[in-house]
Order: sequence, then structure tokens, then C-alpha cells
Amino acid sequence: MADTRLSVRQQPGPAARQADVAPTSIVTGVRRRPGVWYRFRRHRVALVGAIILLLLAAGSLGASVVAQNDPYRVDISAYRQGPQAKYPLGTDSSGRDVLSRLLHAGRVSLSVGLVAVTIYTIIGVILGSFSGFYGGLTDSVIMRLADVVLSFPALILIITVVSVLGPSIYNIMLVIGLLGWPPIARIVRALFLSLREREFVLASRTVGVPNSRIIFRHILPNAIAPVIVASTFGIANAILLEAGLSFLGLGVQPPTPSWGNMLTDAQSLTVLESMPWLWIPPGTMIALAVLSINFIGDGLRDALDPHLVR
Amino acid sequence: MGKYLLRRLAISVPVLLGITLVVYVVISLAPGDPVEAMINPEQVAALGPDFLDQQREALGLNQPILVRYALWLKEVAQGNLGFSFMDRQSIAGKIGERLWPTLRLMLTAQLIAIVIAVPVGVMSALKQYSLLDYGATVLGFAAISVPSFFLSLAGIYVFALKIPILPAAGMVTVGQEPTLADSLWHLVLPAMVLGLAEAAPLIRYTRSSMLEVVRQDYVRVARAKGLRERTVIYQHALRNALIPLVTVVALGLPRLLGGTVIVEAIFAWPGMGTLAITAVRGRDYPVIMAINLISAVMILLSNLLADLIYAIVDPRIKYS
Repeated sequence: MADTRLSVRQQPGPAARQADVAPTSIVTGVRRRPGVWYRFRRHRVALVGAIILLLLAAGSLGASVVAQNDPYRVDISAYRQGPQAKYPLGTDSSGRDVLSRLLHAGRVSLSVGLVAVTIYTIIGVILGSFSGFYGGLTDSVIMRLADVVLSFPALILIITVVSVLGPSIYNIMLVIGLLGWPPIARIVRALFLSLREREFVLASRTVGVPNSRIIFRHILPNAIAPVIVASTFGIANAILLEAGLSFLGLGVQPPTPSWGNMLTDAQSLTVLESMPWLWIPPGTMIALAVLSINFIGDGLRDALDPHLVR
Repeated sequence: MGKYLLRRLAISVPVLLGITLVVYVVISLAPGDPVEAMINPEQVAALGPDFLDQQREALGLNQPILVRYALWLKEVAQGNLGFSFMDRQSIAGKIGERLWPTLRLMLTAQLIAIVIAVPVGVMSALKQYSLLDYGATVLGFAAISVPSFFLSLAGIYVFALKIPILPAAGMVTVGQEPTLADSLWHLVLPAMVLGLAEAAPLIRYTRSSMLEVVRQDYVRVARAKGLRERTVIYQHALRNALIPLVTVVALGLPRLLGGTVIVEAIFAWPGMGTLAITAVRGRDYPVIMAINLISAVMILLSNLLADLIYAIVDPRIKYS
């Protein structure tokens, strides 16, 4: 049974443990990378998170197949109706199918998180690398800039930019993407500060490898694990941020569904009290998505850093 | 100490200038200008485009952006934050009215967070890997994962609609003599929502800080000389474990301020957050600019305060 296997794996004997830490391929005799995937799998909460996230992603990607109704089709005769055979989660204030919108909203919310974090991870990695590698004035300028962005309430700065650019899904991705980089830059910088003093960097310099190649091909791959962890937690935060903005009407604009803007109607006490199908499902979806991503981040942190004592 | 304070204040100035300059430039990129927004289109048609240019010149809008920024700074330095596009009222007055409600909400939330986080974090550390420890970790994850607006709505649903014991919105009961009890009553739900989210990271930090401290030699000495376990934990270990929390609380303030914006909107709390949202919806740029300035000042001052508190609670730290 799966359960016994799991518990056996949790207390592996000395031989098994050695095999897990440094699996050796019988064919080539070459040491493979230590079992990141193995350690991640053993982190049960992270595994649950990964499964939930996969289900959410599958539901969103297959939204058109799973949900029978068009998320944009307005059915005037079905105004704020409760769950029924035709509409399993009822209809919203424009008579649109809530279930279908819920699934399509997943696409929007998850992709906003993914795109925004990809943007700022790239910015953060580049700025952090330069800052840590070159030091001096470059470092001071970039880090002071990071301090400025970091010491500022992100939400207030974002709504300021939204007030100028206007609310839209692309602007939200862009704004979160442009403001989220300081933590990533700080992590990368700290790693570069120690890695640039190592022998392999000196060796590369000695044989005349250009700086850009040392930064991106030699040092950066060694600094990537903490960035992956930080970015994973970042996606969870970005989804929360997008949901909050859309809820306030400053993010993704209807009729495009997003989990946040589906909750906007619930600001009316009537909806809140007597139409729970309008607000409980999208709220739960946000919580599930963010929770599962946070769990995955936690699992990745443990899996990528075996020395961490918790 | 005084010298350190002065130097810190001096460092804060360029940061403040940086933030306000960036916000000023971003805002100036907005389409349209105040002249077009302020003047009746019929009047414009009658007087011609030259009239618009004259108005722009009168308001200094034809100056380069850096000059305009410098002029704005000069006014701010004299305590003049300008006037709202929407209702022509003094922004300083508007913010003055709304600063205290927001601070009251934030402080209460922070207090709730500390009151929850310290005992839970300490217990988690003392009983590491116990059921309580795991429970606290999972609940902590839940608290940072449930969006504050969903938690607020659920809170209103349960405690104001289904079991009507708490008010659903507002800061005081309208049409009633304001009393302390009444305003505390209105504070419970919004402050709890904010406080819970803020407690989660605090629990984590308290736990790891406590774990670190109980391994220290002075804790072993305290035990070795036969002090009661309670005295060891609460007198010797806890006091030292709490020192780093000062920084954690200070670093969490920007996040808390952001959370306040959303929670204020839901509970119709007459603070800076609702002011910010109204201003953004109405594209009331002078107000947006002022709110950015005030929040930046608040954050910088609280960071400075955190450093000062740090020096008081930890005499090992010498600022020079």
C-alpha cells in the first residue's frame, strides 16, 4: 500500500539513504544530481499542493471542454439564479454561468501570476547579478533603487500606476512585473558576492572567459535554486495582488472573468447574505491556488536546500 | 546616538526624493492635463486654444517636468499639499481627517498580530514538531493564502449577517453619540482580518528566533543554576528572542498598509485607503501624489523608529 511505502521511505536504512543522496547510474557510473525530485516528493504537503495546482491548471486549460456554457453569454432570464442542472454553480448578475466563468477566470489569474513573476525574476536576476558581480557604484545604485522600491507599499504604488495607465490585465502584469524585482535581486546579489570569490571563477578569468559569460554561464547556474523558491512564493503573492486589485475594480476588467472581479458583486450585502454561490467559489479558488503554490514553494525550499534545519 | 539619528534622517531624504520623483513622473505621463480637466469645454471653444495655453502658463504646466517637481516640493515643504481635482478641497485637510482612522486600524491590527503570534510562536518552538507546531504552520500558510477581502466578506457573512453581533461597515454607528465602546466594536472585524494575515509571518519568525535562543549558553546557565523552567523561558529566553521581531514588524508595515487599503474599501472605513481608491477611480492626481508622499514618510519614519527601539531593547547595539 502507498502508505506503508511512504513510511518506509521516511526512515531509510543507511544503504538506502546513501543511494538517495547520490544516486549513481549503474550504466555510466556517473553521479547524478542529488535527488531534488525525491526530496520534494517526500514533502507530503508540497505534493498535495502540486496535485491541487495541477487540477486547477487542468480545469482552467480545459475550461471550454469542462464547462458547457460560454462564460460571456448573457442570459437575461437567468439573473442571479441559484445552482441548478443547467448552471451547476448558478448565474451571476448578468445571467452568466458562474462555473464556466470560474474555470476561465483560472486562466486569467494563474497567467497573470506567472507572467508578472517571470518579468520580475528576469529583471531581478540581471540586476542582482550585475550588482553582486561588479560591486562598487553599480552595486550601490542598484541596491539603493531596490531599497526605494522595497520600502514602499506595493499596493499603493500599483494603484497609482493603474490610475495613469488604466486598469487592464496587461497593465497589471506589467506593473507587478516592474515592481517585484528587489527581493530577487537581493538574493542573487548575496549569492554572487560569495560565488565570485570562488576558484572556478578565478579559473575562468585566467583562461580569458569574458565577464558576461562568467556571470551567466558559470556563476548564475549555481545561484538559481533560491531564485526558483522565491519566484514560486512570488507567484502566490502576485495572484493575491491581482485578485485584490480586480476585486477593487482596478485590475482585470469585466466581462473578462478573474477570480478577484467575480467577488466584486459580493460587496453588496444582499448578494453576500443570500447568494453564496456568487462569492464562495471564486474566493475558495484563490485561497486554494495560493495555498497550493505556497506549499509547493515550501517543498521546493526544503528539497533544494538539504542543509536547511527547520 | 543623536549623530546616528541625524545621519539616518539624512539618508532618508534622497530615498524620499527618489520615491516622490518617480511617482511625479509616472503621474505626469497620464493623458490629458489639469487645464483640460478643469475648464468647461464650451468656454474653450469660445476662447480658442490660446486661452488653454495661457491657463497652462498660469499654472506653470508649460515648464519642464523637473522644474514642476521642484515647485511641487517647495509647496510641500511649506505644508501645502495642493487641492483635490474632484472637490477643490485642501488635500492636507482631507488627509488630516483620514490619517488617524487608518493609523488606528493599523495599530490595532499590529497589536492583534503580536498578541497572537508571540505565544503561538513560542509554543511552536518549545514543542517543536508537535501537533501544535504543525497546526500553527498549516494555519500560518492558510492565513497568508486566503485573500484579505475574502476573509473580510466571510467575516461579515458570519458575524454581521448570520449571527449579527458585529457591525458590517463604518467606524461608528451613524446618528449616535460616538462612544469608545461603539468605535471599538466597529474596529473588531477589520482589525482581526488584517491582524490574522499579519500574524502568520510573525509566528514563523518568533518560532525560529526562539529556537535559536534556547540553544544559547546563557539559557543553559540559567537552567544549570536551578531556575524554574518558566523563569528560564519567559525571563531569559523570550526577552532575547523578541529582539529581532522589532525589525520584522517594521519590515511588514508596507504590506500592512497595502492590506489596509483593501480592508478599508470593504468596511467603508473612512481612512487613507478609501481616499486612495476614490482618488484613483476619479483620476484625482494631486490626491494620489499626496497619498504616496504620506505613505512613504510613514514607512521611513517607522523604519527609523524600529532602529531606535532596537537600540533600546538590545544594549549590545551601538549606532555610531
